[in-house]
Amino acid sequence: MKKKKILLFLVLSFSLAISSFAFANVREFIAEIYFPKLTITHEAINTVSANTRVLKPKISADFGRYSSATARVEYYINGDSSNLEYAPERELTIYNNTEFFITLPTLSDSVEYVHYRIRVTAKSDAGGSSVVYCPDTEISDEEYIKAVITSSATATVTASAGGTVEYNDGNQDYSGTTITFDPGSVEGSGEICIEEISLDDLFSSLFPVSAYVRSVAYKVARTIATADIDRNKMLAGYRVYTNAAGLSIISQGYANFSYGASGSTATKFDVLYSADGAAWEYIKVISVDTENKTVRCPVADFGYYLIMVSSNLADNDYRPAKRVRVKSRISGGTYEGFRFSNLVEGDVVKIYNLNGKKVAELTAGDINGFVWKGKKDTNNSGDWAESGTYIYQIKIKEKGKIISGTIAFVW
Amino acid sequence: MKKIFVILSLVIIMLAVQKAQAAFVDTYWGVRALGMGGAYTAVGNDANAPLYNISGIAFAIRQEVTLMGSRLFAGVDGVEVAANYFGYIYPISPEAGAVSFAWSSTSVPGLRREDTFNIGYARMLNDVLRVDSDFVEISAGVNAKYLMQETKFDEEDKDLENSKGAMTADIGVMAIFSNGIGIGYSSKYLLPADIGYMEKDEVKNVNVLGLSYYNDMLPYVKIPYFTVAADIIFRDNETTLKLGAESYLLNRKLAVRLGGREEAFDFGFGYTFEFANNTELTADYAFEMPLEIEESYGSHFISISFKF
Repeated sequence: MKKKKILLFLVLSFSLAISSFAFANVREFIAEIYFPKLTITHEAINTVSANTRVLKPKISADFGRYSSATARVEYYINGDSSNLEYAPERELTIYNNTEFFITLPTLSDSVEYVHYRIRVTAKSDAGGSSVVYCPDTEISDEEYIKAVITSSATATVTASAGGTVEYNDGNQDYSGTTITFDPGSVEGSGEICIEEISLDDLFSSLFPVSAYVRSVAYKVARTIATADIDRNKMLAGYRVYTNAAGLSIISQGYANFSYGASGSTATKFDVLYSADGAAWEYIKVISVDTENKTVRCPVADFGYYLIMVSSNLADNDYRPAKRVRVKSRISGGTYEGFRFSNLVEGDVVKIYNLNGKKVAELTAGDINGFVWKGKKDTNNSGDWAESGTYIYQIKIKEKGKIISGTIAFVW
Repeated sequence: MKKIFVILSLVIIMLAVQKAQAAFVDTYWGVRALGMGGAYTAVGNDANAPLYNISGIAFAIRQEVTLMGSRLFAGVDGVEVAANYFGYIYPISPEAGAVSFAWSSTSVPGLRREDTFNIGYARMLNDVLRVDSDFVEISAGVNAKYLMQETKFDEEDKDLENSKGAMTADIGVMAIFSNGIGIGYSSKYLLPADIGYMEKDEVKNVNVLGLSYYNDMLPYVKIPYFTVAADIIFRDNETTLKLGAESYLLNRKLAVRLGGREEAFDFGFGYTFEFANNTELTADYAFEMPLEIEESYGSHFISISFKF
């Protein structure tokens, strides 16, 4: 009996070590040109989410005596190097990280991996230029970096030792999703799988468009009808399941569900659970890690988990966090403007001067809300507004409410 | 009279399209003027006048001081805007003219404020122009202004100075005809006043043409001590129209006023207490209802004025 326990302990320790190694397996590639010297550094991306299809490589560059440099990402899918694709070329920033954001084409089920490399062209003041690839074949054996297309992860969980399932969607900026079961929280043993759900697929298959009608009913209810779930607020979806017949959850595990791929900057979230996608209930959000973009909540059952921007927001959650913006720092890209958070299609922001005259109106934005960039007319389409104090009024359609405040836009 | 209304109506139609403005654009300068919708360029002859048309102070025969406080856009949660105004006129003599000091401020606590400090001088021009004052009274004046904006910057803009100021000037002329018709013209912010924090930001020149008509007893409708006025404001290829009217009742002790512009309408009243030694104390109130901003109970302005 004692030998069995020791053996089990060793097996689990080994599994955990392998698992940790897999997460910590960060490969760094360097490309260099000498005379004059240019150094490019890049951490390899090993996985790409099958759902988001976002390949987001970052490189940092030391130009040396070169005056400027541009880079592009080159990639091919499933080993077919004859179909090399190029992402648009862009300028590199000296010393700082330059991030590329590439959405790969829709991938079929048969796609398993993508190869990519970064091509950098450096230019000198004298007019000369040099080209280097990362990986640099003079430094590395590899010509391309291979990233596996993934949408799920599996780990073995046992009654006596529990276990942790880790799913890394390939996002370099934030943590992946993990679900941990403490010893005694499951009965039996077997594999538990986290599967990332395509929200579009989920929406079309589980939420028929004809049944999609907005409602405010769910704001006070503990459960929510499928038809009342707001697609605009869905950030990430996961299916947690097991194929092991003898495995069941008897207490609960704890998940850190990642919403990093959505890019959302929201700070309040709801987590919805459904066993089969037919009816949903709110489950408790234990904590939110906005640094790593994860939401921690209990996992008491197998089924679907949806991470959503919370509908239970205070007025200040819609207001711009920064009340003063300077024109040239918006136009120069230092910051974006006044961000009105958590707004969705149907909401409206109106900007008035102190005479009570409407200056601008916002009716559209991105997943994080609407941004007033200091321009007149609708959705920043006009000329620059003048320096001044402005009144904003946010009309939240689903709440039937107006939230007002003041901001200063100066030159 | 009919012709005046026809012309005025045509002007209103022509100027119906307006565009928005912002920096040093609000004109919350004095309760009497606000009660008349801000149409004051061909009317102002008191301590409310200096910022509308400085030439109006030449008509003052007594010293006058006025102090205004306000609450703008009351009822709109999260919006706390205040406008204050102080005006003082000192008539030196009918020949030498009058001087004035005025201060106006529009502020949002903890965010931003705009202040205007103004010293003005005006005098009657009939003697210079050799025009009979029984036919028309003509005045002209000039303002020296200091404009200041103060902004409370966030951490990421801490490198910027909080306040910026610049000098500028206004000029104004006014002609009041014996038949009750008045014409005023004021050109404001004539000198380039750069108040930009990071780039050039000159306050835009504003030209205002004012028209007014006064009658001790308006024919047909029998409204006593009646004034109707219009200001046409030209600023950066944008045009704004303000309209206003005023009548004095109860032996000129009670004033009632009405006015408006495209985005707001106004009404107001005032009561004058007369004292010995030819002194007067007037309490005025004006209400402005914004037509575009929602959930507001309106802006409220009160003032106390003293003539001595």
